[in-house]
Amino acid sequence: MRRNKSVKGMLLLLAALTVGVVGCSSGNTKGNEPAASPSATSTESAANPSSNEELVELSLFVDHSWYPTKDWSGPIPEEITKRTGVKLNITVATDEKQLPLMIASGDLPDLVFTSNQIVRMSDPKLSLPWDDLIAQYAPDFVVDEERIKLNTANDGKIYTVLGAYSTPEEWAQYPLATDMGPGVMVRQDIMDKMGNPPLNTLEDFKNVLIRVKNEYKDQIPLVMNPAGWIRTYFSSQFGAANDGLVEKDGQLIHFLRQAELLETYKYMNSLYREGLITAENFAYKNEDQAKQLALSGKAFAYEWTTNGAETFNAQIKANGGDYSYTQIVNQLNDQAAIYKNSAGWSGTFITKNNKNPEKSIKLMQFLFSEEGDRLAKWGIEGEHWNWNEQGFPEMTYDKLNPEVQNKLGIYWWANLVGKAVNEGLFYYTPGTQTAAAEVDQAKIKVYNPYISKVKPDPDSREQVILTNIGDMLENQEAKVYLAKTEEEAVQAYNEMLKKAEDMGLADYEKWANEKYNEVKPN
Amino acid sequence: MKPEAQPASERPRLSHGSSVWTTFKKQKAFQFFVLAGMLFLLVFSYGPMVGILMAFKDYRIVDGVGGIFTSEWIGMRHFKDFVTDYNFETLVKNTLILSFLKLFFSFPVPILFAIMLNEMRSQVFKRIVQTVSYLPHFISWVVVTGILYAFFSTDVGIINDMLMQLGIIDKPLDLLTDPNYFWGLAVASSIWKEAGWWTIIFLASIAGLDPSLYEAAEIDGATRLQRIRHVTVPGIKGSIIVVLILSLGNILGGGLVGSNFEQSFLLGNPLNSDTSQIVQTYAFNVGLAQGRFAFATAIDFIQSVIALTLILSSNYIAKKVSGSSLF
Amino acid sequence: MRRKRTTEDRVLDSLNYVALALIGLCTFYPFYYILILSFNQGTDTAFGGIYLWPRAFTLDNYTYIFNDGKWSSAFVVTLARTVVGAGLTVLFTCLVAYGLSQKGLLFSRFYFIFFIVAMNFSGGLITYYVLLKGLGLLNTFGVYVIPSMLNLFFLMVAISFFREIPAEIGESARIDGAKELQIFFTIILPVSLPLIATMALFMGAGQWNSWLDSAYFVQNDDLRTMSYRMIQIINQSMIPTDNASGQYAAMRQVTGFSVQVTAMVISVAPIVCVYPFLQKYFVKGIMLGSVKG
Repeated sequence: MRRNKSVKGMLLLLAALTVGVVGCSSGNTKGNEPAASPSATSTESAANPSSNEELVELSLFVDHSWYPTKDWSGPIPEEITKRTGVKLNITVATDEKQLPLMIASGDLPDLVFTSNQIVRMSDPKLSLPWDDLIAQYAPDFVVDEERIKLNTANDGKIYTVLGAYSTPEEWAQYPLATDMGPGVMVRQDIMDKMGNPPLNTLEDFKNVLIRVKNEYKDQIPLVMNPAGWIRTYFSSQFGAANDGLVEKDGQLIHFLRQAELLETYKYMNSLYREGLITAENFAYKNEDQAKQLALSGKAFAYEWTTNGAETFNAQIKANGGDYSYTQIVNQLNDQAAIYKNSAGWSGTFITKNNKNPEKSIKLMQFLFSEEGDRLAKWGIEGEHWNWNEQGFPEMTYDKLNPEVQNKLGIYWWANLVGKAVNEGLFYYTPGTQTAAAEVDQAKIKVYNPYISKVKPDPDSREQVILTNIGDMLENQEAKVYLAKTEEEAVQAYNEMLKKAEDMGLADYEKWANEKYNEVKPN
Repeated sequence: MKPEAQPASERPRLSHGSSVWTTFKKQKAFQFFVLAGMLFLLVFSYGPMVGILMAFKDYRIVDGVGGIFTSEWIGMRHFKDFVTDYNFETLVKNTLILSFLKLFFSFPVPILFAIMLNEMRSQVFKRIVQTVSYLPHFISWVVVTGILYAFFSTDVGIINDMLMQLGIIDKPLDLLTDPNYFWGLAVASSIWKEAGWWTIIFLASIAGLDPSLYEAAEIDGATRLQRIRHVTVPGIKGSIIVVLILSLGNILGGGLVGSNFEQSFLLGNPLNSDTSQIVQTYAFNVGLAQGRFAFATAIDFIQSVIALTLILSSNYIAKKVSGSSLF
Repeated sequence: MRRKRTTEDRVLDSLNYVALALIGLCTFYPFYYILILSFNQGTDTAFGGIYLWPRAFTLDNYTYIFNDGKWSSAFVVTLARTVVGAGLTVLFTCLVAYGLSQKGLLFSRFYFIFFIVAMNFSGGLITYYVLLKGLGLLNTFGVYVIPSMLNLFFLMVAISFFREIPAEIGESARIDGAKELQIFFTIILPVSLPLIATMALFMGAGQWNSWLDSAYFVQNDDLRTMSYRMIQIINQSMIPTDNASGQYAAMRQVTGFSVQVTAMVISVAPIVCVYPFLQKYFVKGIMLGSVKG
């Protein structure tokens, strides 16, 4: 009997809790309207005496789950709001499925910032074209010809202007604006002990690695950062495009077909056969595992980025280590080349649900302007940065520290529609190995952003072919790297090529060339 | 499980020979309970099921929900695309082998473990071991993979280190990259992670057993092992069969045979892809990561049909073979 | 219940002790491992070699996670959904299972097929989202506890459990004129405590760790759950190093891995604390008092 009572009591308590909590929370939940759509907007009259305009709040969805700043707070966003009358209510994606779900269910906010869904969002069913908005609300918003051509969608309209891009003229204007690229670094202390052998060619590099293997048994001669950097440096040295399409003899070919890529594979395979890289390196799930080898002193050479040495040295020092890395600044091969085929990284779309297209397009205009872009990226002139006569801004704050960036609300919101040169200038720090490496690398860059317009429809057959080939490559590449002899490596490569052909590589290339003829400038 | 022996008293209400309506009225409270559940499912499960249509259509997400109905009907094209994919056979082979290995090796473990726990005399010891045993369930596969690397890596793994120092092997084992080891690794880690959690269900079943059955058996002279064999095991036969049938239904994915997707996704890499790639990782990479919802739905649909078939047939077989079944 | 300990008993018991101790150690160690890692500096962990205790003790991982605001509302929401959600699911699922477990229930075949089909087929995320929108559940507390009220797997488990309960158990109450619903609450449920304890634990753990609904179906910041917050933090710590700030971030003592590990410890802790209270229901003989009494 007692047991029954206690159970009843427990059940009653549960019931009470249900009613109580559900009742309470629904009451407290703001925005619990029947429509309950994520586009919560409100127009408040400005309590801010310094602004004459009404303050508009727009919702922004950031389709990058790793975005370091997730709210519109800090002196910089406040300044932007002061000058544009717009405040952003931000939601950062939890994963890459969230945006497609929002698209499919029609629940889009006012603004969407994405790179994965650029082609999908460039659709009149989802977004408002900028040309119309500019004509209607901001006729003085001028976008250069090049960007217009690069951002024109399939229906001839512009739905976004991608950020993180700059025209050749802009790059020429600011020679110190460089950007990160692939790089390789070596342990300076071991180099010293070996008498600083030359490192001018790829052969030199391999010989140094072999020496390390023989004389320093506890070192792994070369460790490669597995998060997308395995092939990148070496393909740049052989002048092979590392992904996508590349123009050869006036035609576009898939990067897999390049003879230079085969050279890259053969070289890397030889590194494996000489015992200079480990098989497990290709299996690491994340870069921490590779990094750990470098930071604990087990990696002689490390393949990563142009600013890798700088980054590691700071950390090694912090951990009390007594060795350091040196970035290899010069190119190791005459035919080195890096193909820059991107027309930008990520773009902001003004959706059909947007509550205030006028303020939206004007916000874009502001952030695109030199004044707005620099404010968003660098800060307030005089307070956060000062122009150095050599041609770059000097920051008064610890610019690379994400906590500082977060507090100031600086840099990251400029990506909505900013210029790549201003990013490059942000990162430039004179006298560093990074700067030296990146300036040297700038010489071998080959630009062709129009190739980036050759992007298939997300649901099309060409997209399927492209993705299948990419997946196959990821899985089969290891066989090339880990082949026992050079002949086997070449054979494995040929098999990959054949598999790609079977998947429809030729059809894809044919479509790509047709598309390229339509979009390339004449 | 439908009990094999009829209880002594028949409930007078459910008499044979009455009309359907009379019987229904007599059990109307129970019917109502069930119908409440059906209504719930109608809304939350069957309503959204209309989404399955997109598996047969050329659906694009920019068309929104209406697109499910208005896009072009393409019949089995998505299914054909899947089946003719160049690594379809490898995918199916790996998926099936992995699931069956797991079922075979990991199914008996929770049952055994529950029995062992039940037989433990010290309550304190039993509680501690049981609490500890299900902790791995809450550790995500991402972290488990990290732990596996820390232990089994050829460069820094402690296991390889130890084995080499003891002289058992002279070269580190490529546990994480050799395709031959993947299945073993997947089965072992899945047992370690999930067995403790599933033991709880069987332990609950054992707890519900009538102790007088044990007393009776002991009076009849049964040894401890015999008591386990003849009282405990048959006593929880119902639960075992239910979990077995449902796990078979989930053979391609979750349930007791657990987490195929996470394991393949995290422990799989280009070096062992010959044995680690499964249907779910394929569906994820090609279907969802690219937003090809219709294609992913088609693959899902195939798996659902297979699961349903397995449940229905295993239920039938269980009934024929052991007399007990799910329904 | 006194029984002589036979030799068989002694042998089996010793074997049992040894085996269970080994199993306990095996399953405990990895958890202990992540516990010490959560108190170890992330960058130091990356060197490997930590097995028994933290080498570079720090509370940084914890302060990093809790540094961000909004944890108190997240905690309340998560606690509420765990208790309410588990409670609702256990009650509703058991109710339906009880009905379905009755011998001689008309149309039971049909019902079973209905449930089993629902268990296996799904229309996908998109139509589900639209349904939630249409029902007005989006962005409400209800979205956490209502759609999960019927757990099909445990429906089947509960059915098999209820079938074991002898039919006589409710007879006297029935004769006295009690309604079936009353009998369910006052007689059946109390006798099924192991089942309820199990379901409460499974459902509760599921509610506690669920983050997907908080991510996709809720916009209101005050309605987010703890697990969502943790996923957010984990995501943010994974800033890609294809970016100089990403590399700088990676330099901090806190790494993506150490954050994840700490999040794990935080998720498991409450469950470890709650379960010992439920354990007393897993004792043989729970049926004893009710039938004879």
